Amino acid sequence: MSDVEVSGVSKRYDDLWAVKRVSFTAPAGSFTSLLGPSGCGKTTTLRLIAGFAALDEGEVRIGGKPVDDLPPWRRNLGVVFQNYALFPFMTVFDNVAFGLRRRKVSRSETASRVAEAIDLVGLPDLAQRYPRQLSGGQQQRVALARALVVRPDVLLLDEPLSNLDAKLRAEMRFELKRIQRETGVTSIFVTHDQEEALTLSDQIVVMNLGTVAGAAPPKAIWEQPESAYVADFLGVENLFPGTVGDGAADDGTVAVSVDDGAAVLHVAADRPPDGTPDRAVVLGIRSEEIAVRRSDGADNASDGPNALDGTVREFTYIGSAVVYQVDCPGLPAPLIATAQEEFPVGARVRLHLPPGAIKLLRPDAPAEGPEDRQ
Amino acid sequence: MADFFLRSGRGLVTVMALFWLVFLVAPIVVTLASSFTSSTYLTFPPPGWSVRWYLSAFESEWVWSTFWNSVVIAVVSTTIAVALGIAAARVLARHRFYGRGAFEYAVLSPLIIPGVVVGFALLNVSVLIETQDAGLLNLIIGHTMVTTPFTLRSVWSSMAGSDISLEEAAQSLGATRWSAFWLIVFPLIVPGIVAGAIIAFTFSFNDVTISAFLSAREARTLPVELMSHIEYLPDPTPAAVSSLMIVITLAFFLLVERTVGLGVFADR
Repeated sequence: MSDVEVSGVSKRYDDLWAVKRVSFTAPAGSFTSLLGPSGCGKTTTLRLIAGFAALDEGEVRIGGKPVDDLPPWRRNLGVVFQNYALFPFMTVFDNVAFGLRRRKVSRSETASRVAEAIDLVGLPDLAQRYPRQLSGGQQQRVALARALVVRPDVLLLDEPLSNLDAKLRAEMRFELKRIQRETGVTSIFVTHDQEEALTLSDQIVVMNLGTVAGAAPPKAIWEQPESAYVADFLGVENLFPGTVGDGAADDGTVAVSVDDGAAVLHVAADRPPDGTPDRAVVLGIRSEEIAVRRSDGADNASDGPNALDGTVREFTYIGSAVVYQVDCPGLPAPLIATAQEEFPVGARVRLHLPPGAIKLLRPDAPAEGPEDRQ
Repeated sequence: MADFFLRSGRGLVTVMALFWLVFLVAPIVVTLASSFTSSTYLTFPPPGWSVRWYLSAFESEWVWSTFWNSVVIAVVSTTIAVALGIAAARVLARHRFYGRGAFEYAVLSPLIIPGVVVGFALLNVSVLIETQDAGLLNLIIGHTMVTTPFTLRSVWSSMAGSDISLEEAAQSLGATRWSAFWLIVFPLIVPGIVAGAIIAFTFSFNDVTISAFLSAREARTLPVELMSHIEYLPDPTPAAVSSLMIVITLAFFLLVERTVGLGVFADR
């Protein structure tokens, strides 16, 4: 078991920086996710760790040793590919045994370790089948067994669940977690799915445009994302630019004006890391933290801070709740809110945004286009 | 309407089959039949039957010497064409580089340029570098040039099915670049190699146009020698030799069909 230190790693393809000064550490035995949209550099980062591409700057250390001069076959890693990359003309047994044979492991030990690995990943007795005779989920397990049988220092997984259907994906998520816990192998997992990242990881590294936008354990990154970009990627539906007003009020809140003062929201004063007046921020709140009820048309001052009247623009029923788009005067975009109650389109509703639920987020630098990455 | 197209489609197939019979099968039947003639000149239908021209073919020194020339040239040029084809296909399948399109056209160009032009050009070059008397060498070079596009094409299309991640998976499991190629990529492109090699071999063994330019006196191929015999001598020995070549080619394809299957000739 080894830790992985990625420090200041950059990779350019022609004139484009695919990865630019990326740094993070995956502690030994931990599960780290690289999370981001396609093209954010997460797969490139994984490929640099695996040694499939040479980095242009920085250093990768595995177990404290720099590996940049080692070819992939000397790094002792296990890699699971998005398309599984099983050798099509080899049986399951030969696929799993491939790495052991390269390592000149004896015939009898190979047989027992392959059986052990196939057992670990929960495959039934399919050793003599060919990959094309297996289901997607079974192929996935073979790929895992093949990567784990060599007892790698690090397990690298490149979107391994994205080719599975929803039900199987949920099942394999549990399986991955169990296998990682049982083997204790340091794992780095590339995904664009925030749910996968949240459920599996000890640490989530959110990437954007080839750089690290934030890195934290799932709970921390869920409760207080570092920036508006991270919050957006972790499913904070409502994000508005705002400016922090001066000084805390008596009720322990800070007034933040939204959209150049068209609306004012009160945010729990312990939330802003610094109360600097006039600071530009992004306000974020999740849809399920907004309370929705029918508006009686009366003055909303008695409802405390952050009570907004609005009109239902559209709603979608998602089974466990109803998701509303509500137009509120003073806000630049409709608020997304969830409720159990049903309101028709056009209904007047009153929304309540608890001051403690609103996050103050660091605005991101203006989105860089690809030309800025040159 | 659809019915009309279906019916006219069937009619078209029938017409095509007839053309195929008349233009491809009929000449072969005529050649085979007249090779068994008992007369001393070629004629169809033969006045009587005998195998004397086959015996004559087996006894002729020119048949054997040029046959072995053809075999050597076909084997050597096919081997080189396969090696070059694998190398070029790998470059084209794995790398994006400036001038890739031009490279592709350059390698495939002998498929487009007429054989007469290629033969004449090669003859000029061999005179220029004073190798015009090294007939065997010239023939091997010429045939390799013209057959490499065939091997490249078929290896390339079979390589497209072998994802780069297969090689990377093998490398991550401890296989060096070289052994990843041999253990993983090579088995996947064998059908493409076999198909390309068969086409290259058949082309080389049967070629007349390019070989006619490059054959020196002591290094003539069987088809070239056959042609000049047919031109100057009326005896039916060439018919017997041609019939043997047809049978050998058919046997060859039958062998392929029984071992790797003719599917190797289909693009993926």
